[in-house]
Parts: sequence; structure tokens; C-alpha cells
Amino acid sequence: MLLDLVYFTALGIMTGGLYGLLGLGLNLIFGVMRVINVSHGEMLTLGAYSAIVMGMTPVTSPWFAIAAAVLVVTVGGFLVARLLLQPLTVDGRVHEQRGLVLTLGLSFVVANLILAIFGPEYQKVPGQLAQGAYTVGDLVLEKQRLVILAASVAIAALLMLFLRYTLTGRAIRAVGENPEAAQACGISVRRIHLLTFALGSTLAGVSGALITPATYAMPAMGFSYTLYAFTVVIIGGLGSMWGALLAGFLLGIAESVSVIWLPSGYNAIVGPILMLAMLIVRPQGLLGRLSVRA
Amino acid sequence: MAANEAPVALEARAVTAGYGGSAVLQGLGVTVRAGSITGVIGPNGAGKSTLLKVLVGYIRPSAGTVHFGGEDITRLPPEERIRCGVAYIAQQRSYFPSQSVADNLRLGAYLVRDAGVRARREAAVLERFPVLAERRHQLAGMLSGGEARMLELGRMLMMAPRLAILDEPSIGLSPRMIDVVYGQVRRLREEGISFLIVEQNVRKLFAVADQVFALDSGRNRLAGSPAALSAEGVLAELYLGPGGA
Amino acid sequence: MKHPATWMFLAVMLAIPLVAPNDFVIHTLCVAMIYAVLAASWDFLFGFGGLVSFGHAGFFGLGAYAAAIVTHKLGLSPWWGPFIGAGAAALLGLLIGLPTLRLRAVFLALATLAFAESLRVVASNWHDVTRGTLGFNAHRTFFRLSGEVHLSYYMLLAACLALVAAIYWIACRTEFGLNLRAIRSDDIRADALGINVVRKKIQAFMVGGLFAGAAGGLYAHYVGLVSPSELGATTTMLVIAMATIGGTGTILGPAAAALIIFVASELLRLAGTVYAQVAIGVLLIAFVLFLPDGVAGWLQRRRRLRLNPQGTTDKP
Repeated sequence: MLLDLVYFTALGIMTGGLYGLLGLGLNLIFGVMRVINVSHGEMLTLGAYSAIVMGMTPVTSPWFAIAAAVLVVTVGGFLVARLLLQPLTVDGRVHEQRGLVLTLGLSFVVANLILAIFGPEYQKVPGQLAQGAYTVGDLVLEKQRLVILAASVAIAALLMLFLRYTLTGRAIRAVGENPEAAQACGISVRRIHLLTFALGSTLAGVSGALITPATYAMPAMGFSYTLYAFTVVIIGGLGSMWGALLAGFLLGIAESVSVIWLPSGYNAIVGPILMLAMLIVRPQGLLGRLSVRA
Repeated sequence: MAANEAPVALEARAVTAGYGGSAVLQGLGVTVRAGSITGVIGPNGAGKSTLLKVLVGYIRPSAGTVHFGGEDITRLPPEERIRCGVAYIAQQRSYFPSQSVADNLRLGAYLVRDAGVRARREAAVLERFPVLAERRHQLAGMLSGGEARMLELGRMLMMAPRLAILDEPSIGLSPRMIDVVYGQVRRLREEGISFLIVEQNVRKLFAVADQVFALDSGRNRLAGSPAALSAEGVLAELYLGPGGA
Repeated sequence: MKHPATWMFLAVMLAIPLVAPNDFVIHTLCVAMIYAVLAASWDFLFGFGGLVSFGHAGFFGLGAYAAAIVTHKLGLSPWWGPFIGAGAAALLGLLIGLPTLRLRAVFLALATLAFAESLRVVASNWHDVTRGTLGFNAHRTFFRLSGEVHLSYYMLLAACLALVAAIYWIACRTEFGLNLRAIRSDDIRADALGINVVRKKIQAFMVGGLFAGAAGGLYAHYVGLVSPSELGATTTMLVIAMATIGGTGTILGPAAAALIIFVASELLRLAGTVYAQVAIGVLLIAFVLFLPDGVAGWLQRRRRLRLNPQGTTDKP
């Protein structure tokens, strides 16, 4: 039993890193633009399928696949922000309800476009990030999943450092905190919005490329990841970067460990239940700072 | 040079602007001469803050123009006007409480490319406002009202502006702090910065201003030196309506 | 109601089975009508209550499952189905409403989403009761499958018309609806006026859920198969798209849009294009950007301008 617990916890930590990364991206976008990006998961899907397309070329290194994903999603995110979200932006904030519905429509479009182009079958990228597994006592940990964890944590760390210590990072936080004062400093809120959305989307896209060697991709995959991202953001707290990381791991562990007690298939309910619980008990999340009351 | 012979630094001409469909400002005009402190007063709802937003660029006027140093800047977004030398401190919280004092100042110099220039200006600001030097690494959210105003002024100075627009700088401050703030304003004017100040505290404003514009319901009502406007009854009529007290 | 378009519409709907006896067309229209009720109920929540329901599929699916399972287990006539569905969904509305109503719109939306997702997971995995992803089809349908297509159609037409009319009447003709609209535009002022905001919002959730559940019951006993995908995101997305395009806050706009969009997408699918769903999404985006009030809203504004050619004080 203890072994199971340790194993599932380890597994949960490995998936949790990814959830945290997704939550970070969503939080960034929300914190700065105040838009709930329902199409966040679809950016992951785009990243995943970019990797798959790269996999169809003679280039087999998964790192090139990740580069392709970054390129596609960054450009895509930029275009979405420029063409679709900018018209809805007033006084440095995106119209809350319309942004919600628009990104909903966008997720619909992207998911179905991918379905139309690639078909509904599960697809996979040939090759792996790392072969084999580590064996610790009775525990078998796939190296690939460890690589994904390491990459997620590294990217998250880079992002937090960027936001803390670079002028552009501080400008992004400034726009999120007080767009009017930011403009008074000469910061272009429009450009920061574009950058932020592209950055947040790229985080999702990279996640997509990272997981394709390990799991299958299919057109509808985006939405469940959007759900994970929302759950992480709610549990960690809207606007809190550390909260998103922490919540990512918590969610990953909770979901993974629950397999021990719940009948199979039911562990998918852990996320929604945790989100509901947090919304009812403490809507600002564990570390959140933004106002949540109507 | 006499006050009304100095070149025009900033000017709004026949501005009509508002929110949604309604026009808050109707054909308003305001002139700030170089090197002067120009005030704007008026009862609540007169459109003072709206005027400032038009001048800084947050709102596009539906009619009329804004000129700075002779150039038409009506089409420019706020960040471009800042680049041209206009500075703005809003009524409330024109800084970033979640970042440190030092980072706030550095954000003020966002458009300054040269690291040397930035460093020199930061040193100058910290010298001018010792309280900020003391609290360099503290979060700006911890500052008191007066200290925050100093931070806003410091942030503004990092851009070495030619003209500063202040929206009710005395709000929420003790009388002593208000004097300190206006003392700084006077000093900065000596150093060559022009000011446009919206104020509710008419007395304090009149003590420093060269020229004052009085607004009412989005239109110009009066304009002149503080002495001329202090004349009996004129201001009472402005604030209390025709028929006086 | 006296509008000539309404009578034309009714006439067309009544005539279709006689004119175009194609079973596929009739079946599509039947499901489309159910979606019309769904869209209308969503608009009731959003356009009148200001409540964004991201989990509307939850009301619908719960209603469908409840209707199917309960009528089957208790051996009831399928005509009980919609009522059972309505009841179950209303209860869900109460359950959701109570803890979440003080939250800002965005958080409420996520809460409803979480509810719907939880229900979907349960439906997918509780094999004993719901038969999991295979879907539940042990219940009786309204009529035996073959030969009574027309009967089903007219029955559904009557039922859905009644339901949409009821939603419309509640929203636009009762004090309850007025209160809701007051809450939607300014809930602080509404509170000051003495309207018990929280209670009204909970009631709104229950009413909106009730109608969605009734639609679910209709669906269950018409189609004969209820599966977890009914509880999924696609249903909710479709409903929100229909309501937005039709014009939120008008009840009839979403209902009409639902009909047209569903039929159009099915026809497109039949014609072989895979891009029908993509088109709906693109349409939704276009509407949010350019016509956020939807078709009904646009029509209303045009009518107001025609009645008042000088234009009102607010710009269109």
C-alpha cells in the first residue's frame, strides 16, 4: 500500500508539473488581460499536432518538434490576440463576457479544424524524449516523464524569473496591475497584451509538444487540458504564479493517488470536485489576490 | 518673459469628448504656457478628469484637437505622448503597489534606453526624495499617502518630462503633506517643467498657479489669474450656481 | 405574438412533414426543436439573470438520464419523462445555486462547468445505473420507432413551442422576469429596491435548469439513447453559440437561431463537409466581434431606428 502511495505520488508529481505550466499560462493571460481563455487547451493541441507534423518529416528529433510547436503557437497566439481580442479591449481590459464567449468559439473552431484536417484517430509522434526508466527499489519511473517534469519546472522557473527581474517582465506585471499607470510610464498596453497572450499560449503549446512522445494526441484533447488549467488556476488562486505551480502539483498528486481508492475511471472527477470545493469555500484560491465577489 | 507671452506648451482646442454616446466635454479649450503652473477647477461633474484623459490620450475626442509644443498630438496614444515629454499622474494610485519602490522608478524610465541616464536620474530622484531612498526595496503598497505621491512624482521625473499633468494631487493628504507636494511642484517649475493641475483644494492651487481655468458642465466658464478669479462672488457663482450662496 | 412572421413560421413548421416527408429532415427538425428549448433556457439564465451557465449540458444531460432511468426503473410511461427531467434539473439548479451565487460571473461559469463535468464522469463510469459510455437505452420511447415519425414531430412541435412560449412568458411578462432584469443590470440597486437578489438568482437557476431538464427528458424519450456525450462540452458550446447568434436577452432569438443553425449544420454534414462545426465557431466569433447583440438585437435596433428616425440619444 505504501509503495502504491509513493508510486502514484511520484506519477502525480510528474503530471503535476505539466498542469502547473498550463495554469501559469492561463494565469498570465488572465492576470494581464482579464480574459478567461477557454481556448487555452487548444493551444496545447496546436502544439501537439505541430509536433506530429514535424514527426512526419525526416527530422526525427523531438526537440525540433518542440521548436516547431513554439513557432506555430506563438504566431497563432499573436494573431488571435491582435485580430480577435484587441477589438474587445477597453481601457486595458478585455470585455469579460464577450472574451469568454469568443474564446469559446475559438476553441470550437480550432478543435474542429484539427479534426477536419487530421481526422479523429489517435496520433503519436515517433521517437521519444528519453529511453528507458529509472528503477528505485520496486518503483519504475519512466525517464521520459521525468524529462517532462524537469522541462516543465525549468520553463516555469524561467518564466517567473523573467517576470520578476526583467524590465519587460515587470512591464507585463505593471499592465496587469494598473494599465493606466503603465501607460503613463510610456508602456504600450496593446503591445504588452499581444506579448502576454503569445507567451501564455506558447507555454501551452510547449506542453503539447512535450507530451506527444509520451501520450496520444487527438483533436478533442484540448478541452480536458483547458479544464485542468482552470482547475489549477482556481485552486492556486487567480493571479498567483506560485499558486498555479503549487496547485498543479496538488492536482496531479490528488488525481493520481485517488486511483487507489476510487473505482477506475472516476479519478477524472477529482479535478472538478476540487475546483468546486475551492470555489465554494475559498474562491480566491490558496494564494490568490484578485477580487472574486460579484 | 511675462506669463502670457511665453510659448504655448500644451493646448486643447474646442474639444468635444465623452463616454459612450454622451458628451462630457463640449467645445472646451485650455492653454498651458511654457514654464507656468496652470490650474483647472470646477464643481464635480464639470469634466476635469475627462479633460485630462483627453490631454494624455486615454480618450479620443470626437471633435477638437490637442497640441503639444505646436504639434498636433490628437491621434497619438498615451505612450507616444509620454515619449514626447508629457507626464501624467492620475488621481488614484498612479504606481504599482505590488512592486518595489526601486522597480516602480525603473518602470518610470521604461522608455529610456541608456542605462547610464537611467542610473543618474534614479540617483537624482532618490536625492530629491530621501524617503524613497530609505524605502527603496520595500513594496510600494506599504507607502503612506504622502510617500506614494512622492513616488509618483519620482516616477514621473525618471522620464525628464517637459510638462506634467496632475489630477488632484492633494487628495487624501494632510495639510502638511499638501504643502510638501506643492513645494516640490514649485521647485520643479523653477527647473523648467510646466504644470497643468486639476484641484479641488482651490486655496492651495491659487497659491502656486499663474493661470486658472474654471470649468462648468463641460464648458469653459472663466479663465484668468488667481487674483482676478478671487474677486468677490465669481467663484461662489461657479460652485453654487447663478444666484450665489 | 401577433406578428405576421410568427404565423408564417407556425404554418411552415406545421406543413413540413406533409411537404417534405423525408424522415431525415423531420428527425433533424425534431432534435433542432429540442435545442431551441435548450437555447431559450440558456438565454433565460444569461440574458435575463446575467448568469453565465457553462454547464448547461449538465441540466440537459441530467434531465435526460433522470427521465430515462427513472421511467425505466419504475416502469412509468415515457410521458412522465420530461417532467421527471425537469424536476431533477431544477433540483440541480438549487444545488448549484446555493453555494455559488455570490461569485463573480466568471467563477460562476466555472462552477457550472465543474458540475457538468462531474456529472459526465459519473455517467461515464457508473455502469450499473447508466451503462457508462455505451449509453442508456432501456427506456421506452414516446412512440414505437417505426411509422410514427409524423406523430413524434407534431408532438415535439407542440411541446417545444409550449416550453419556449413558457420561458418567454416568464421572462418577459411576469414580475419575476422584470426583477431578474433589474438584477442583471444593477444588482446593488435591485437589492436596495427590496428585491431579494440571492433568492431570485437561485430561482432563476432552478427555472432555467427546469426547462433544460424538460428538454433533456424530451430528448431521452424521443431519441431513445442517452450517452455521456450529451453532458459534454460540445452541447454547451453549441447552445451558447446559438444564443449569442440569435441574440441574448430575447428568448425567441436563440430559439430561432438554434433551429436554423442545427438544421444547417446537419445538412452541411450530410453534404459531406467536415467543416460544419468549424463554420459555427467562426460564425460565433464573427457575431461576438461585430454583432454582439445577435440577429434579434440587430433587428430590434433597426426597428427602433425606423420608429425614431432622428435617432435616440445613444448611438446604435
